[in-house]
Amino acid sequence: MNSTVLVCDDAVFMRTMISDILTQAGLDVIGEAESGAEAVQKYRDLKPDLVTMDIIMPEMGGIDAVRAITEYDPQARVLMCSAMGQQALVAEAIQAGAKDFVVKPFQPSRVLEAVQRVLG
Amino acid sequence: MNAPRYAELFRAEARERLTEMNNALLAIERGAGPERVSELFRAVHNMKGMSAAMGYQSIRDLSHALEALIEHLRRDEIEPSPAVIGALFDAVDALESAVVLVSGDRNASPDVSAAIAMLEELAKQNDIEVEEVTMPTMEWPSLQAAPPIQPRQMRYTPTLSHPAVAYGSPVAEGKRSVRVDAERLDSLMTLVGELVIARGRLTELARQAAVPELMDVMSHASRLIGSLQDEITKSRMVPVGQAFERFERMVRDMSHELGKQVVFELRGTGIEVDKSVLDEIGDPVMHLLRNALDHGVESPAERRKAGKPPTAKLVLSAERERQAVVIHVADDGRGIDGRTVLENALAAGLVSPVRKELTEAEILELIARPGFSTTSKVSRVSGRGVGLDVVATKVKSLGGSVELTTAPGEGTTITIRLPVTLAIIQALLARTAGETYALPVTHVVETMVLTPDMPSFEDGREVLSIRGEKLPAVRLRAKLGYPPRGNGAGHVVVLDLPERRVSLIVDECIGQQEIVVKPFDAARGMPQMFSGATILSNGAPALILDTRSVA
Repeated sequence: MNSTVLVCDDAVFMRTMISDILTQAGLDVIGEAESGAEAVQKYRDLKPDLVTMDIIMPEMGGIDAVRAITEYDPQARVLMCSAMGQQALVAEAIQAGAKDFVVKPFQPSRVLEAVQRVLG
Repeated sequence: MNAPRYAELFRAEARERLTEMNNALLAIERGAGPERVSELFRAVHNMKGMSAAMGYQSIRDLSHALEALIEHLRRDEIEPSPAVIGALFDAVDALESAVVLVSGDRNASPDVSAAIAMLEELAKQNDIEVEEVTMPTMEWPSLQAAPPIQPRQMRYTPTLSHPAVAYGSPVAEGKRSVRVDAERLDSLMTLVGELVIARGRLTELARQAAVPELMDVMSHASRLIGSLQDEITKSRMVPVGQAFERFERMVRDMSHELGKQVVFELRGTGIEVDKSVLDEIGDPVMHLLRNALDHGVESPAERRKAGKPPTAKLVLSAERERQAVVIHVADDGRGIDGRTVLENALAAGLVSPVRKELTEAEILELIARPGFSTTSKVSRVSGRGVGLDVVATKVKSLGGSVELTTAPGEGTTITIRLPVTLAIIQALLARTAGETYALPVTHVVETMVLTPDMPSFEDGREVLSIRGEKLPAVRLRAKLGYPPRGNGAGHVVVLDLPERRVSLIVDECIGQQEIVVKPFDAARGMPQMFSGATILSNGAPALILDTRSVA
């Protein structure tokens, strides 16, 4: 069975792009969220194998969302996908429970490598 | 990757982000708090991510420079002074031009160096270091080894997150939505329009065939088509705010340019109208706002002299009135002096020399004339009253009306009334001289058989006596250039127009029908009295009469 993914980003453009990359690699994108709050809710509803998470989003940013998701499910596998590349942010995201971090703009191969590592 | 598809997505979303940036900046200029700064940051950040993914280097670079400056704003390291706000507006404009350029040609590389230099200069003036927000295109290699960071050391300011939205609380069940290309909605509407026409013909055939089963199926299908039409019409409804919000920026820029102080207020932005109406009213409303700012609103000095507060008020509002949307553009400026208009009109020989006063409707009609001016000064901004005739013509062609109320010294309000949807309307069908014409029912009050005792003449003009009331009569045959009917028989359609009631005499009223308005390009020399064309349920074409220019 294919791994299932929840894609969280406030930009339709980015959601589409990430979904395309993952779908072409044979993953099942089963949901999208456009805010941190929606991501948390959908994680509970859909129980995806993997979450891709933007950082800068309205109504609860990505880092708080990761914190909320890992609190609910310590086994959650979240991959941060953000244009915010400052080391402190990356570290904060990892501390919050993210398993890896890809910086936008991303090469499909980089995203897939990170996905394999996280799902690994 | 599917380049054209992403380019289209980018274009659509970039537009939204630019609107958000402008709105946030306007709010910040008015003193809004950190939420709007965060909103601005988010929009710019978003633009940066998208443009980088698209490979639009210059947009990415400019977004990046903007983001850096806004980050300083967020951290209160710089003040949102007029200079800073002005520069941010300019940078957003540059960003918009760049987006427009790459939307036209994916390989264009807009020159944004001036805007970036300006932002960096500004940062320097404010004595802050232009911090390099790094954006490597690969993952952080030392990720797992990153030292743990205590919350208080975090550089990330958590203003973006809203702790109030606790993850445990039930999240509002967000409406599920999908994006649909506006063109697709248009073609759906056209298709359902054709379907409605076909339904009419089918119903007629079914009735003739008089097969009970066929009638049953037909009436079921008919109801389904009706619901389909309703749903599609609803899916095309958009809030007027979508068209209005861009005016905030225009009003701000224009009042600055004219040296006037104006508070601009938007009301009723949630009122929904059909997309086709909204697409059409943007320009007329813009003309009215420009006119108000240019001619209506006085300079602060003039306002003080008149004992008014130096800051003028300009209100753009929308209301729903049954099947119409009513838009007001109201200013508290100098108003229109009826006497000046009368003098100018007398000088130009436009009104009878015995006239002493003008009604508001007449003032509107006069000032809407191309070339007619209420002042002698030609302004750079909106020219010599240019626009009002364009507005009146446009609104009329959409089946709407324009009204004016004004009080010298107190201000002017222009009211536009438009149907909520343009695509499908109820019409009365009338045959005259062998042709069928459609009359929108909006203004139709009643119809009746013409009896010989009705017509008479008053002051040389024909009137009809209807239940004791004498209404001006208009004979459609005469209007269309046909000879009168030999036997004098006919039907009367009573029209209730905004300023007057009129009786229209036609050969025969043949019923009411939903018609689909087809875009109509009047051929040269075509009488102005038609506002469009339609296909009737029997498949024959018919012209739609513009009741206001006929009567």
